[in-house]
Amino acid sequence: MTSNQFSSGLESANFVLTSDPVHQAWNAIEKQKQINPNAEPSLFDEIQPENPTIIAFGTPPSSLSGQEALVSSSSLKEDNFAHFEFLCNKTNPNFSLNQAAIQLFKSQYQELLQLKEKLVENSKSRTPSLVIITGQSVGGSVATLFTLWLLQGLNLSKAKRPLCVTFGSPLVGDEQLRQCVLKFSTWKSCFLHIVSNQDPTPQLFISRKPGAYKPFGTFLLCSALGCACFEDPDIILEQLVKTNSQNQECHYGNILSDLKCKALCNFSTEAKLDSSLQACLITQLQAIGILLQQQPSKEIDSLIVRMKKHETKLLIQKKKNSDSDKKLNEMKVHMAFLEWYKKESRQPKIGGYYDRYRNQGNISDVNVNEFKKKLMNYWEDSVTEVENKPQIEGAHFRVRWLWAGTNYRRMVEPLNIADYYKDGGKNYKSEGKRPKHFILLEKWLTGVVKPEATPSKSKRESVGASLNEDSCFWAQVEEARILCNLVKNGSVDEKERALQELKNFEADVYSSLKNYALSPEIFLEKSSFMQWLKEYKGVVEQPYSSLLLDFMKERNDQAYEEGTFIFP
Amino acid sequence: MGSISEKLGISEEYIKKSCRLSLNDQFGTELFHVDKSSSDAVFIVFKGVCTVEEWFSGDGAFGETKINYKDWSKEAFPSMRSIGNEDVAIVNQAFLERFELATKDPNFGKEVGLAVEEGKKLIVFTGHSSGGAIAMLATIWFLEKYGKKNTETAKCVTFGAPLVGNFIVSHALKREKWSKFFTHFVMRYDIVPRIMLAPLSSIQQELVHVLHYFTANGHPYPHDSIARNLYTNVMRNTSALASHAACKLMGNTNMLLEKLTNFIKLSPYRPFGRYFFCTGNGKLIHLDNPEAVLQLLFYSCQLNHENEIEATARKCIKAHLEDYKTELLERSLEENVVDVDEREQLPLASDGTALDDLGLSTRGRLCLRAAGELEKQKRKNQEQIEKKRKEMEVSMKGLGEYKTFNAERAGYYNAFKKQDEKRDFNANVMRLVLAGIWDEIIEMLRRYDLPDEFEGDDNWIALGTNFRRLVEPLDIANYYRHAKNEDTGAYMNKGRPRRYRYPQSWHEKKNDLKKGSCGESCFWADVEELLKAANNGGKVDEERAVKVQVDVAKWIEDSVLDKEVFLKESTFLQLWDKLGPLKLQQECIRALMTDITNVSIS
Repeated sequence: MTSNQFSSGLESANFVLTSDPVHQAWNAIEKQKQINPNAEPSLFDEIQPENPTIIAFGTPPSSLSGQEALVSSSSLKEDNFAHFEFLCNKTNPNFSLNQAAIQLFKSQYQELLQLKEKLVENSKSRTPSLVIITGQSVGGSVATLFTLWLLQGLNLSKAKRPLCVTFGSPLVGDEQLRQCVLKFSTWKSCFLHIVSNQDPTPQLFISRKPGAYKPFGTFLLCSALGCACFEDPDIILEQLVKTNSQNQECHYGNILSDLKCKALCNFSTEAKLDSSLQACLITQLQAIGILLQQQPSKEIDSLIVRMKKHETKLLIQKKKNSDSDKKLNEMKVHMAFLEWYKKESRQPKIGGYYDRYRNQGNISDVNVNEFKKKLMNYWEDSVTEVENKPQIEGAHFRVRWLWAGTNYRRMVEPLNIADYYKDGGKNYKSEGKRPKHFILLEKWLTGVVKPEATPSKSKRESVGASLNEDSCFWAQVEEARILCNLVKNGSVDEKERALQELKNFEADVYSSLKNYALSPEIFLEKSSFMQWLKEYKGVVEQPYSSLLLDFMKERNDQAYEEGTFIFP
Repeated sequence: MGSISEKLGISEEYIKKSCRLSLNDQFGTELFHVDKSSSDAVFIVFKGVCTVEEWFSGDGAFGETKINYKDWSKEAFPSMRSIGNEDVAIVNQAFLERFELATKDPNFGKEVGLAVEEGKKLIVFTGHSSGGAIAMLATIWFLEKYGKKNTETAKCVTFGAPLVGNFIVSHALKREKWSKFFTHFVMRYDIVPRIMLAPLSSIQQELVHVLHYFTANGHPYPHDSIARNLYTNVMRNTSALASHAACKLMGNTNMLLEKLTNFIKLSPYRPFGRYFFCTGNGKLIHLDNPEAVLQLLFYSCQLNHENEIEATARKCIKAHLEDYKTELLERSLEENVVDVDEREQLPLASDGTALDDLGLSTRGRLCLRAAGELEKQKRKNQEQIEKKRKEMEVSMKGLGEYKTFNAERAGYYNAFKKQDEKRDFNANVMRLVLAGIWDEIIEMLRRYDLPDEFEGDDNWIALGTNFRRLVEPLDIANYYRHAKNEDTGAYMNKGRPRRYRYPQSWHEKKNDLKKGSCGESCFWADVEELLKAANNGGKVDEERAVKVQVDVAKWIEDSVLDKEVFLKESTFLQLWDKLGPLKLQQECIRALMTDITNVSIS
């Protein structure tokens, strides 16, 4: 794999450099400076209304020295400024932002809110305009914050994401912020940071507070010789520190147009190399002025080793993505096995797959345990992944995925319940013992599917092959059996309460049947449900009659199974 | 080094003759010129066109249009698409319109027809500049029209031609095995083969002058600033496109690039066929890989230094007019060909070989390597799936036996739908194994990660057809067993997997059948939908009900469908019972039905 590996940092840099948006962004910054040169400069202006819409953030005249302090998202929240809380997630409940940048943001919050609302509104039009958000120095930091804020407001399944281009901006947040942004899989691709090795600003905060700041997004690092794109945060950090010029005002317009001219020239290097990857990386380092024509030093060697590691990581990630389809197919095979297991267990003397699995008397039950574990691992991971990602993205894909998940939940959760009660467990649902991914899968389904007022004819007819709609049905049966025991052996108070609960359960069962939401497998002779029914009849006051008992007495379960029974 | 005539199937003499004819009065009002002076070859020479409107027409930023944008062209170029993905080729509209004029000239059809009838060994379509572009379209047209029988007789030879089509053209030509009939000669510094990579708006002004210079004999060379602007804009766009392509070749995963492409327009045009880059000192660098050609179009025309821009720009314009003659006509070609594609590892620094003569930097060489690597990767991907053939055969055999077993009972469609027996379950596992492998193949096709030839490979088409006919009924059975039509919609609209749609298209393409005519593997889905309508007391779509019956009869006659459809317990008979007055009026199926029912009774 490694022998034919490449790194495209030079090519992507060249593409960025020769494409318009970068130059449009810089021109907008220049224009923004001209808008009111004498008065107090405004924080931002809309430079171009559409195609693309360009918003430029200005640079306040105050010095950046001493502005490296960070402020945590939790203390912002305490100050009633929770506009970036949406970035938090379970693994990263807190992050920190540069205080100066957030201060600027706060100072014009109302105006920014208006702008955000306008852009969100525009994104809903039939042909929404593309959006570029840009700024130099700390203006770029505010632009970054604003872009994150805007991304959260857009409906990304329809609108195109904005592009944020910063020029020589200091970093805006810490490692946690980077992690939080990465959780939104497509967001980091919205950020392009252009940094010249003649510009001291980007490294200002890093050198004052080593280790506190972390970059995210793509960095286009420029030198007088050329430029290259980098994505690995540690390597970017390392290169930023190396820029060490006292040059105050950096004119990115000139830097970019120089580089654009150079792009047509043949940049000759005399590297006697054979490995493509090595050559790619060395030419990148030459372009950003780190490595001159001389022999590479030890330091450079170790840098190249780390860059290679990063490239390999990308490759593995790519492979993982392409393997996910294969995995899904594997899961389908496991599900087919379970289906067969269910089918085989559909005999009166076995009592259905729930009871068969609960009683565990057969070698095939052990195999089923194996499939169950694999399926549960797979779905637990998938659900966690989806939960951490924004729900709105890829909404289209989710419907089909959700049906697969629902089918899985209805098939496998009973097995999980069987394991739980077999070991003497109680209160599966109420005591937080139910695995979270089942809960989420159920919750998401109710968000998508509206229950029908009356069940359709085809639902009735296909009830024979269906699964219980409520995947916790068996837990309820288990609880009901415990209640029966309580009625028999408990105190007077307990008896009364238990009996009432049992009647409630009985009524629930009947209404589920009316809805054709229960599989007729529950009527198999040896099933836990039938055993409960027997026990229930034994403890309930006599004479007793009910809809469910009548249904059973009249042997309507057979017509129900055949799909011909119509409830009165 | 290799013999050029062997490689191209056309002698050096005829290449030179093409060149001479193409360069001779290359721009004119005449559309084309037929030369019959050779005993065993006909040369059809296309003249160049000289106004900007004749180079760029329509609304596309690059003068592009879908090749099927008119009725005549839809009919004339049926193969210019990807089969499964159904991407239609994009070509230059102005050149296509120019070629349309030629097809309307009765003389053109007559001359081509004559040449075919006379059984000439060779029909050469040739041209210089835009004439070459039109010659390419003419050759594709010829191959489409006379393709199956007379392919070996057609050749296309162009000199300094602009690009004319997108990557689908290259993809389709390779699939049809026609790519090798196209030979393009390009001077290292000729600007014209790169022109189509820039949007018209960026070069329009300059193009007016330069085209004028090309056409008006003795017209003075345009002002330096014009040449300079043209060079800069064309090369800048070429550079952006080459870099974008290189990022893909190198496996870049940064989504920022895709983001940026929303903001800019990249040229759709890509090279196809065989390219010979003339270095200027007599050497010819030969490449077949279109991705590599694209990279070379940029890297071989770079500046050595910023202050060379005017001189280079001038060279780039003059080369188009003057250099083909000296490079190709006044030298022997045989000895000087250097193959690049076949090199295992391209050297990354100058090594005294011909690549030095194109002035390739390390960066350029890396891009060429990446282009070669991608082709290799595609072949490796195919090898990977070839290795799974065995596994597929085992499952196919198992399912075949399953089908045979059930043919004496209710038919395997119904058995599978019921899932009563262990063997039904085993069949389901085999179905899933096959689905996994085929899904992987289709996913690769979707990303164009398999060799272009794949969808034209007879073996795979046959395999796909067998797979589709045997396994798709099981997928449909599964779909309706789980009542997926309730929550997702009808199988044919929402549920039909690509692994069946693609092979059906391959089969139809290969046999020149109408699109959608080979639905024998999915007629069960129609039956289910009709049955559902009939059962629910709704109105049965008359047209569809009749069509299913007519189709079934035809497919059984053609023996692409087995008679087990008519088994007593089959879902089809359930439907048939319910059709009432809609019941087959066709004699053929009535006969079939009586026949079969009699057989099964006796």
